[in-house]
Amino acid sequence: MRNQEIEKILPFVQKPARYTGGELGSVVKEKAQTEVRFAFCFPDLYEIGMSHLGIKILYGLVNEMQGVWCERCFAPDIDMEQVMREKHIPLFALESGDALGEFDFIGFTLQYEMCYTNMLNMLSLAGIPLLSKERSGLSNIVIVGGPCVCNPEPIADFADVVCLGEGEELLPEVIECYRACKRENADRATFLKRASQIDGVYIPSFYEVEYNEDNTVKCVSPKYDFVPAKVKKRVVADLDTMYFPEQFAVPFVQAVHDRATAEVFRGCIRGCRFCQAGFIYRPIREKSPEVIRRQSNVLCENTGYEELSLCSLSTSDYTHIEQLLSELIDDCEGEKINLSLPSLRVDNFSESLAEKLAKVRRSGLTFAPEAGTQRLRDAINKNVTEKELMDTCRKAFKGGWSLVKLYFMMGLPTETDEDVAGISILADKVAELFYTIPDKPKGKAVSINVSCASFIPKPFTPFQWEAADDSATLEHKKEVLLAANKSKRVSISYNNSTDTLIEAVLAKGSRKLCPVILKAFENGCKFDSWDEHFYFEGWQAAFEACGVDPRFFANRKIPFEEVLPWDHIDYSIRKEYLIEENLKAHESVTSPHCRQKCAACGADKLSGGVCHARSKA
Amino acid sequence: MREVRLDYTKRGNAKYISHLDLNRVFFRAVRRAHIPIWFTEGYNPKPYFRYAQSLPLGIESRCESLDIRLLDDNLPNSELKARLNAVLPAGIEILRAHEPRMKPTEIYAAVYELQYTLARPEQAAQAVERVLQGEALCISKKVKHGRKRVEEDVDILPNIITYALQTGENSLLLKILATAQQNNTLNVFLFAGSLEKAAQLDYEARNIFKSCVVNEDYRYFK
Repeated sequence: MRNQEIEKILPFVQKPARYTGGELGSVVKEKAQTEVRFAFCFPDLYEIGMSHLGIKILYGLVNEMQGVWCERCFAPDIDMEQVMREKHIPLFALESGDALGEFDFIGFTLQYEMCYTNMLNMLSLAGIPLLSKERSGLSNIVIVGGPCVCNPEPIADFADVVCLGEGEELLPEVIECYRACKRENADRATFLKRASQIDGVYIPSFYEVEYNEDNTVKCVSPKYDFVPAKVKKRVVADLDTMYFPEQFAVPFVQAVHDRATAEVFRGCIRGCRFCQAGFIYRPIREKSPEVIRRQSNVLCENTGYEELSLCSLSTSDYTHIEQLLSELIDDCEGEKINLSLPSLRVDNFSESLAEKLAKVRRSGLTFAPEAGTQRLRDAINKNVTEKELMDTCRKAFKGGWSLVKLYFMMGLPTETDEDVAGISILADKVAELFYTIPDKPKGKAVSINVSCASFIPKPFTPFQWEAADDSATLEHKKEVLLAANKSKRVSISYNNSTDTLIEAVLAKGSRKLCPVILKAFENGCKFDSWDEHFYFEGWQAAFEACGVDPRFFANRKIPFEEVLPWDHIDYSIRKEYLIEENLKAHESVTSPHCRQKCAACGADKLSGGVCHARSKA
Repeated sequence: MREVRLDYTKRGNAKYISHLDLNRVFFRAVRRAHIPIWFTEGYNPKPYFRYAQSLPLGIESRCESLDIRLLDDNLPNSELKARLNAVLPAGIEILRAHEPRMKPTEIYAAVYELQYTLARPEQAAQAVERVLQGEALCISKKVKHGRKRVEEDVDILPNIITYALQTGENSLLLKILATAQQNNTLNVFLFAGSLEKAAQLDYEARNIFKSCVVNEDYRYFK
């Protein structure tokens, strides 16, 4: 970094190495030979953003392009922001130290709704107009992607370009399109028009929304003939030949997940009805074990990381998991690398898998039964039985574990007080189980951490029509939950009902929310996902000022026939399928997973008909 | 197995790497360079890394030392140095790899260079001179009185063994030789802070650079 003004303020802020760049694996290019500059922004702290795999993939991929330089930018911490504003230092990218205003693209990955105000704060710190219509010239194209953009409407006023689905093929196409425009001296409108012709690109300003009198959406229609009525998301057909970085920028400051990551597969066969990731990342595409092994070894070699993590939505569902694990365990043992396996499911934690895992260094053990009773687990299609959970915990206790984390949700559709109390009862049973095991870990007390998140209905899930519980209901359920807990060995945590409301609104909102988000930002809301910074009153005031009732979006059950704000966005999941699943939920009927029976969800229509769940069944 | 001392620098933005983070930087560099090192035994094997001193965040240095244990007796020091330098981040450079001659406990003092960018350096130099020639320069320090922790004013001038001042165009350089023993070390940031207050230094930029470490006989720490 070469900016002297930044250098002067660094001695006065916490963890200054978050703002210096220069990490091994970060890419510095010659500015003179750079045609297109891309600032990849993660709207949260460095420690969070540097844990994210997507940014590492796209950072590497874009930097492979000749004449294109991708840099990173994260939300500065509160103390840094204060000094920057005092000294009038605009937000800068880490590699060059140059202000974001000098960049062609300002890209944001939107991983969770509660980072929307951070995106605005970062634009404001950079001195870039917050509203798309206020930006001019060809530079400073604000481009967004990530899971949240499956409903891009709440941020439609802020983004110039929205990338739907996977970016590995899409993003280079958009950048090339821009490069051509820049060479021709074309204007912003021309670029946006051409970009709109790329599959997976949604230009919000090219669409018009009409509303009914009751504030529901009447229709979303293209303003011009040249844009598609519905924009389909992009996916990469073959993960084996897809770009994967051989190097990560290795942070100095410890990131939340500071390790090498190997992606195992995309999509999920399970179809849990609450899980957005399980639907929007379809179809199932696996990497072959040889490719995963090769990529892991190269990455560990280049980064020097002492930990390798396998990444997918449900790693134990990987077809070749046992082969992959035995090979990786051998590789890692030789190199003194810890292998970590998040996302293991309870039901297929097999004996031989457990044996292999015993070699892997153990920390805590985490299971997500999601609901406290079998009835409700069936309704949400989390096909895990109490017996399976108990069997797995028994194996785990025998294997020496004494700390178990259990993840649940509260406020699920069809949930009753009995289901909520069931969470505590189930946790108590797990605690009791520990003491019935003769060869339990000696001299250790069992400890069960129950983490109970509020359910938030998300677009493109069978529960997208459902209402989130309101604050009063959630507070009542918390009391029921705590009252049912009899064991001192069980500790229960849950999240605030106020941030549940905001997240629920942002997830399913229409364009009516754009002014609300802007107002909330102006009221001082930022870092909404951080309890210590979440400022509910700021949001409340914003809703009032804009005349928007948050309950309309969060707590209202939507009829199937109503037009959804994201109906013009096509994630290739048939609506009829989602309706069927919703109806089954209300009858507490489960659906088989994709390998048992294809539900014809529609995801295999993408990318020439790939779905490994079906082709390998 | 043999013990090797790595003398290294921490320059430029590398000064913002905290001591704890630095440990990870070295560990990962050692892995990338495939240096066969000895790990501590036990349930949680860790690389054997012993630092002569820990450098406070924000100070540049060219006299840091780290001792490691090599499992390969035949790896020449020159090759060890070259392989590590090829994979270390900018600012951290191994200057020498050698057999340790002194123990870190033998360290007696260190030279710090306080580089100021300011207007009217001559005037500033006189002000600094007055403070350093004065009766006392106090910092408030947390000390233990039995079980109680209390704040107490401590005079730090006795920690300054000697100093030199040098002025340039818009710059002032203060070099100090200060105690750097385990129980009697000068916190150079606190020193700079109270000096700047007492001398009313109004500077545009300040950089602190640790340039050498010596034993009681004023020989370089080796």
